[in-house]
Order: sequence, then structure tokens, then C-alpha cells
Amino acid sequence: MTETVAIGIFVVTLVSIFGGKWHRMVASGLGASAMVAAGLLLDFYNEEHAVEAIEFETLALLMGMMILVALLRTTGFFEYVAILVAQHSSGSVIRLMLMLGLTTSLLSMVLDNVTTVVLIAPMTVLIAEFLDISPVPLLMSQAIFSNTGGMATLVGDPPNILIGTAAGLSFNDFLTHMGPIVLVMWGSIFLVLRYRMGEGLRTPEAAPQRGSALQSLDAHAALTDRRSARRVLLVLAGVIALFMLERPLHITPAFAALTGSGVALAWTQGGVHDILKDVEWDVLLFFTGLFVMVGGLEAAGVLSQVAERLLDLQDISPVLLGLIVMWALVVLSALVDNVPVTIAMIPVVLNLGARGVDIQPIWWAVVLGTGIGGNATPIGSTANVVVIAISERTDRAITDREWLSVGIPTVIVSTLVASALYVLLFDFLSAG
Amino acid sequence: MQVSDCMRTQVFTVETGATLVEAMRVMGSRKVGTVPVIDEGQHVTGVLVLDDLLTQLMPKFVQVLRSTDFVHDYGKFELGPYAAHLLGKPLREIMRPPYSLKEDSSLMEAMVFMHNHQVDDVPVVNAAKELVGIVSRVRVGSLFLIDWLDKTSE
Repeated sequence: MTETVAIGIFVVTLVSIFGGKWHRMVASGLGASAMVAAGLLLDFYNEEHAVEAIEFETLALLMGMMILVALLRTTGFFEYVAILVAQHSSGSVIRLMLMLGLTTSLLSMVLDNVTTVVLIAPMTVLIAEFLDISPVPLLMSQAIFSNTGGMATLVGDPPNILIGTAAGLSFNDFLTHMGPIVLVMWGSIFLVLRYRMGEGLRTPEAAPQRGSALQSLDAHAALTDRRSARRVLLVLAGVIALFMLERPLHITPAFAALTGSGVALAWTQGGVHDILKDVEWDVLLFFTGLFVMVGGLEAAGVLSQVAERLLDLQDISPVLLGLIVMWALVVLSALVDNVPVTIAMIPVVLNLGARGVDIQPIWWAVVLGTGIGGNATPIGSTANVVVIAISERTDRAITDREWLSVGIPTVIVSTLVASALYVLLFDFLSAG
Repeated sequence: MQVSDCMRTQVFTVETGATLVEAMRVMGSRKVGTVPVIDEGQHVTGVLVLDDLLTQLMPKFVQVLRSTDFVHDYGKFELGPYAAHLLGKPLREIMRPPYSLKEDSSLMEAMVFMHNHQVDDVPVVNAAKELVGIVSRVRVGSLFLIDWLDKTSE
């Protein structure tokens, strides 16, 4: 009974997030209330448990990074970078996709994906208009590269932050284990995009002359607050250094990010009120609601049962178990938001661990599965949604069909690549 | 002082059935930034605003970027034909829903209206809702200033 009710509440919430009728934060908030109410009535969950279920470390890390990004975005740094990149592409559309894609991936490794595309995508519209080409292939590739780059680091993607905090995986663990896989996947995705978007990526004949129009853009004028940009970037570098020294210094990434945001706020004298407005509170509240809901699922015994079921597959090898988890998550996160999927998956994996399974490689399967799946559909990740919304403000809105025709092949190929590397590197991924 | 004290009574309008191109010609030749669209009974059915047309003619990146101060050379965007698809759009799609002030509205009311709706010119109608004039921010504002100075320095 309690299991059915808890699952029911969770599924209804997921479906309503998927339906998009309510904002996902509202859906998760209502779901959390329903879960606590059900828990009180059926005596499996209460307010105290709910508060304990909230992972404050994850929230703090997210908030710290959001403040740093908010400080950086007003300086014009992203525009500056985009102009420099465009000017070095010499009017070739393929080169432009490659270089803007690389930039987006690199920025997404350290910064939030959504912020990266929110700032790079409008610049892409500008570049495309100057070159008289369609912005659509470039925009789609940016969302995909942003999702892909984010997979490589602890702070690149919300699911990674969740997994890293729960599994005790450090920044270095992510970089060394996921970095190489993401690098190979990146190359294969580039080839898929190049093949799938062939026509749209052809450089128009007049582009070389038009390319010279891009040279007239004044990158330095775009960097409106050079001093603050330099300061925030220095702080960001310091925060990443602290991430890397997490183990020897015995600190958490959340501590590093919050300290960094405090230092940056003090050093740039940024208007606290304006900066805090740019923090995505709805995301933080969305997470909180999900934590409470998944805490209820766990208290109702649902998640340990899922782990039990997975263990029934005892006979299967650990490699196959990892692959099954990865593929299941690819499909799930293509269809629904990957954050609730990850939050629900974490206790399942921990339960497996408690039953004696080596869960180290399973964590990596979760990272890959939730990261890859988001590229498939227009709603698979927030970066996709943002890019589509920006395209709707130009003459060329990205259609669902258009997205799927590129997204699905991308996901199939990257799942295959990731699976192959997972099998090949299994011993390395299992080592702590 | 009220709106009818400073409105211009010669209003350049187009009829509801007019094409967008006709409306643009009126705007261009009469050098006005706002053209009310009216039906046979002189009722305002919409308002065509120059700014909306210009926005459509600008490059799209202007709409999606916070600042474009780093663009010094608009080169190809200044040479027509650009955004020619605009000509094919019906007037209905580009004009704003009707808005107006009454001729006995106070100057302050007109100023607040312009401020809240971010418009520079507002059609003026009589009690029968027929178009009788148009007021601009400059006309209302300057009359208000003179009036205020007179009263305050008395």
C-alpha cells in the first residue's frame, strides 16, 4: 500500500513535469507536500525525515557556482569569447561549428550548461546573420556539445553534482574517469552532426567576404567590465584548484564554491541584490522538492526493492549490470528531466552497495546514461529547451522533427561509443 | 488643462481593410510615427507603430542580445532588400490592439498612460468613441511643463 502510494505520487509528479503544464519547481513542490502528507497518514514518512532527505551539500555547491556565473555573465566575457572564436573561423561553417562547439563544451565543463547556452546562443544568431547562414545547425550543436562537455566534470552538470556528492567522487575522479570517454564521444558526436546536418553546414559561396564582416565586430567593446571579468575568472580558477585539492585538504566542493562566491562578491563589489536575482532559485527549490519526494520513496521501501530486483539478476556480470543501468537511464532521461531520474537512482545504487555490489562502476554508468539521454529530444535537457526558445525569436524556429532527426542518431552513436569504452575501461572505472 | 488642449486634430489614418504597404506609405510620406487604423464609423480598431516596423527590419540578433555595442559596422543589414517577407504580412498582424485617450482626459492621465504603455503617441476619441485627434508625448509634456512652471512660480 505505502509503496503504491509513494510510487503513484512520484510518477504523477514526473508526468506533470513532462507535460509542462506546471513549472517543474511547482510540480516538485506539490509532489513533496503530497509525499509528506501521505507519509504522515500512512505512517512511513514525516517532516523530520523530509528535512533529513535534503542534500544541503548539493544545493550549496549549485548555489555557489550559480553566484559565480551570475557575476561573470554581466561582464560580457561570453560575448567576448564568442566574437574571438567567430573571427578565427574565417567564414567556414564547419569550422565555426567545431570551434563554437569546443568553446561551449569547455565552458560547460566548469559552468552551468544553461548559462553557457543562454549566453552563447544569442551570439550564434548574430554570427549566422552576419554570414547569411541558418543558425539552426549551430544552435542545436551547441546544446548538444554543452550537455556533452558537462558530463566530464563534477560541476559540469546537475546530475554529476548529485552523483558526486552522494558517491563521494571528487573533481579529479570525474576528470580522469569521464574526461577520456567524453573526449572520444565528443569526436563521434561531431561526426554524426556533420553527417546529419550536411546541407545546413555548407559554407555559402559568398561567405568568405561575409566573414570579413565578422572582423568588424569589436571583441574588446563586448567585454564591458574587464576588471570584474578578470577577477571572477581568477576566483573561478582558485575554486577549480580547490576542487582538485579536495582530498588532500579535506574540504568539500560545496565549501570551495561557496567560499569562491563570497570572495568574488567582495572583490568585484557586485550588487548583491542583482546578482542574487540571477541565481536560479527555481532550480534549487526544484531539487529540494525532489529530495523530499525521493526521501519518501526510500522510506516507503520502494528504492530498496528496485535494488533487490536488480540483484535478482545476480547471474549477470558486473559489466552487463552497468550497461543495463546506462541504457535504461539513456532512455529515461531522454523522456523526462534527468535530475529526478538521478535523484531517484542514487538511493538504488547505494542500496546495491549495501548489499555488497561494487558500485564504483555503476556510478559512472549513471553519469553516462543521464548525460547522454538528454540530447535525444527537444525537452531532454534544459539547454535544449533554451536553445529552441532562442530560435523561436528569430525567423527560423527549430522544430521537434528537426531536433529528433539529429538528436536520436547522436544519442545512439554516443551510447554505443560510451558502452564500448565502458566495457574496455571497466577495470579502470572500477578502481577507486 | 486636458488632452483636447494640445491634441493635433489632423490625424493620418488608414482603414481597417488597408494593406501593410499602404499604411507604411502613409507613415513614410506624412512623417508620423503612429497611424491609427479605423473603421467606417471612425472607431479605432488598431494602431500601427513605426517602432514595431523598424524592429521587424532590424537584424534578429538585436532581439536576443542584451547589448550590441560591439557591432560597429552593420554593412549588409543596411543594404536592402532585407526582411522582404515583412511586406507580405497582413496589417492586422503587425498593428497593436486599439488604445486611446478620451478628449477630456487630464494631462497627467495622458502622461501616465504613455509611461505605462511605453508609447509616444495616443489616438484621442470623443464620448462616441470616434477618433478626433492624436496627442504626442512632446505635446502633452511641453504643455504640462509650461502649466506647471506658471502655477509654481506664481
